[in-house]
Amino acid sequence: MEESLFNTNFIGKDGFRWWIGQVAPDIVQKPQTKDKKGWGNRYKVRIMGYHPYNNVELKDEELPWATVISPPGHGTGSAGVSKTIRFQQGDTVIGFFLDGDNAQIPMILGAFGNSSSVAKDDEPLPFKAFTGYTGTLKKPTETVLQASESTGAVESASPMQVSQADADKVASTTGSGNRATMSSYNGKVVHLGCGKSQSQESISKMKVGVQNLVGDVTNLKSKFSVNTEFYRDKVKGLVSDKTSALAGNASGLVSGMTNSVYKQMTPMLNGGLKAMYSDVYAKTFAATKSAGIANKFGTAAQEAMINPIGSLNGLLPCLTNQVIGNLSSSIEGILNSVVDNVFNYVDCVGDQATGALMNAITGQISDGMQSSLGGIGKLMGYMGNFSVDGLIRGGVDSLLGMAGMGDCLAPPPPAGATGACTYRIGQGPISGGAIDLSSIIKDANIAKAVADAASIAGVPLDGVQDIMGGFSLLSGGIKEAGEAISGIGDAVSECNSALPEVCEPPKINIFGGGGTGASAVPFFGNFNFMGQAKKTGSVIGIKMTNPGNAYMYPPFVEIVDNCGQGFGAVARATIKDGKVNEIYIVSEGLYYPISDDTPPIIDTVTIVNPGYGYEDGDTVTDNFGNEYDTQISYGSIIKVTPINSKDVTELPILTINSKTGSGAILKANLDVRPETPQGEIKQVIDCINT
Amino acid sequence: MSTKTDQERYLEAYPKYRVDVNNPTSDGYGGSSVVTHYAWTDQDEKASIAYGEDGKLKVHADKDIEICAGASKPAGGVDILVHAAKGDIKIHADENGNLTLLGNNITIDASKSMSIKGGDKITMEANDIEFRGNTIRGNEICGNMAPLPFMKGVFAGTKVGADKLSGAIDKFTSGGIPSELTSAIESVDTGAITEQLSGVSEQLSGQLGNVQEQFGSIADNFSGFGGS
Repeated sequence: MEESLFNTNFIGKDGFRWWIGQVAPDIVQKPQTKDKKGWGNRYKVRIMGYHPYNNVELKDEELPWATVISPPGHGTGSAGVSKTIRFQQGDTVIGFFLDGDNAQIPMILGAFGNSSSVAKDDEPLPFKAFTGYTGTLKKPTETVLQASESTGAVESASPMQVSQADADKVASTTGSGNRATMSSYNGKVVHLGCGKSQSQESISKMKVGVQNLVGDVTNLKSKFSVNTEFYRDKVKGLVSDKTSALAGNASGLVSGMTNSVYKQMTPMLNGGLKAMYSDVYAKTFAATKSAGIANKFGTAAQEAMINPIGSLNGLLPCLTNQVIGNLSSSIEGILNSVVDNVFNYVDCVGDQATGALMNAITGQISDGMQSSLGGIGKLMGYMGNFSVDGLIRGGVDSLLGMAGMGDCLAPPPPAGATGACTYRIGQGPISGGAIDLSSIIKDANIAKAVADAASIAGVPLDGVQDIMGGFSLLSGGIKEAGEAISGIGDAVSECNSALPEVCEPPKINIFGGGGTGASAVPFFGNFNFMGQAKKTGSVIGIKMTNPGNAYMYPPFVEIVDNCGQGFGAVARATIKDGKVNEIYIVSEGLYYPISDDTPPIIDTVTIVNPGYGYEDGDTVTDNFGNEYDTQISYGSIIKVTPINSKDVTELPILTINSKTGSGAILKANLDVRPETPQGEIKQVIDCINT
Repeated sequence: MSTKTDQERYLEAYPKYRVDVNNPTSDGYGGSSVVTHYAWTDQDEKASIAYGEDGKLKVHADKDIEICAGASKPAGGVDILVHAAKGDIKIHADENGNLTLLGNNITIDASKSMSIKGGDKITMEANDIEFRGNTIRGNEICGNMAPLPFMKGVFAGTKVGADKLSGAIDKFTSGGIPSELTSAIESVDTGAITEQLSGVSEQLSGQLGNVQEQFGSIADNFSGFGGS
């Protein structure tokens, strides 16, 4: 009665009281949230000026429930339309009291934004800043939100579409905090199957397997100390998995190498049989003077070879499987060597690992055939300098393709002849992966010779070193061999797999498309400093230096530096009459090492899409103040030519000023500023008096 | 909460999920992000759907991806279509490497050419296998389909008769070879050629009489052929 005398009990008529408060710890919100037994959108809130600054005088459990007023776009739950209110413990909210001065029915209108600048490690005490994470809303272990709880776009870094190692590299050098990757696949390389023969396929897979192993180990190193048992166990698991996969992939190579041996043996054995016949015939004829008798003896000698050669024939199906079954230990040894010695994958690492594998296979095949070769010992006497090892090491041609097929009956061209052989997940087709089998075998032979020389000198290389021999992946083994191998090991191609000491500007790799010979150079802009004052930049343009020829499709363009420091630059090529016409930038990327920061100028403009609806008088401008001569035909932009040439320091953005047209896409092509723009005056022509 | 910035980038973050729209920073190999959906589990397994300025839509999952369709439609038609307009389609199974197509009727239809490569083995099994073509060729070293297997190649142009060779080929290509190899070689080592030469000498002795001793010595001279 008394209350009604003084209060109207209508909101606003009895006074309107704003308040600012803090959402209480999650533990006291349970009556509202547990088992979904609460109602409405309510939070217990400690309100400044109304509630004490400690939870002794007023426990968190005894705080009032404040009801959240939903924004118009959230719905109310009616007809199933609503959005979850997403306040978390510790949030600072603002509202009003529904009951005015009585201050018993608080309502929440909104919240103050969060900030990464606020330390949130304190325990949840009244009006202190504390974390929003709870037992049910756990702090992520590896996400971008680890460093900051803020959801503000400015403060919060996005997950990256790069490998973990690259993400960590960026995070550490830019101070942007922990960066998560969007998946575990980014950066992995996939072999797309371009080899002409199964042997080449196996080699490509071996190289890609080694490349991915190096990447996986690098990722592990970025997360864990290499001295921990956890790291060693992880690496052991990686090597084990990769060993199993590569042993299976080696089937094609083993099959190809045994195939090569048998094909080369066939004419040699045939020649040996004929030589044997001649020898027996000659000796018999000399003794008997009878051609008939000599023929029978010669024939009998040849027939005696049926069983032992038959045993060689029968060995073939088993030999391949036997070799593959024994390869695992060799592959594991090779991979462990790679893990221990390689810090930066370069193509020669894959070549050397493959060469070592071929050494292992050669040894296995040679050993596996020894028992059967014993049966043709006499015949081998007629075969000159015969050795299985020699046949394998000289059998490059057999490994390169299928022999015995005429040109008109050749197998279909490899898929990807106009594309790429390797693909990086998250990026797309990448260059490299080409196989120089002759070079691989040459180095493998030298490496084996080094191992043999060391053995002769009494310094045998044990285990995997025996097949790795002179490869620089195992330089330690070479040093131990000392003088015995001096000079031989030098012949193995150099392969530096250490981290580069100097990061060089990126190269433009143009590959695929069916053609060859195109080359280009980059221009840089958006300069900034990374880490220890290393100047970096974005790729804002690419200039063709050689258009190449025979391109059937636009080739792929890859922008990569030797440190793998920069990323994100994407470019596309256009072709005309079989040549690469231009390359334009789609996305400029970040952190590429640079050596020259001279600004280029806009030289030409590529019309990616001519658009429609444009009219005479429409103009083109850019973000540097340049003007352009614009030609329009039937509503489409057909030619754009820069009139002036101001310095270009960032990715040029061409803007078409039109009230009627749409759809045109223009890309600027850059070039260096000419030292003498007009050039030398060669001749003055008087157009009036002539 | 989403925040509008001067770069016109939008972000929504939820527990275990966030969306980035128009992130101007190059956050990946593919350049700037157009839109990125990113989610993770308590075990930190990640999944994402991302579209970048490189024009590539990427669907990644650290664990598994299921694609199912057609449960509520009548039989027939196409439930799932994967179509590539101008480029290739590649399906790649890494490490474990098993790729299986299951179905009642499976057709692989190549308009131009088809290459099937098996590093170790290719097995075809059916009640009825039919090869059709204007030319069908084999390029094997041993086996029963090739026109010139290893044995025939080795003995081509020699005095060994086709009958003896074919018998040997059958023996060494009809299975069970490994267990026979050792004994076959050993039997040769004991002097198969000696016996044959001796047999020849005996056969001839009846006809030539006085040269019998001479043939015997010749046989001795050639003993050991076939073995080392």
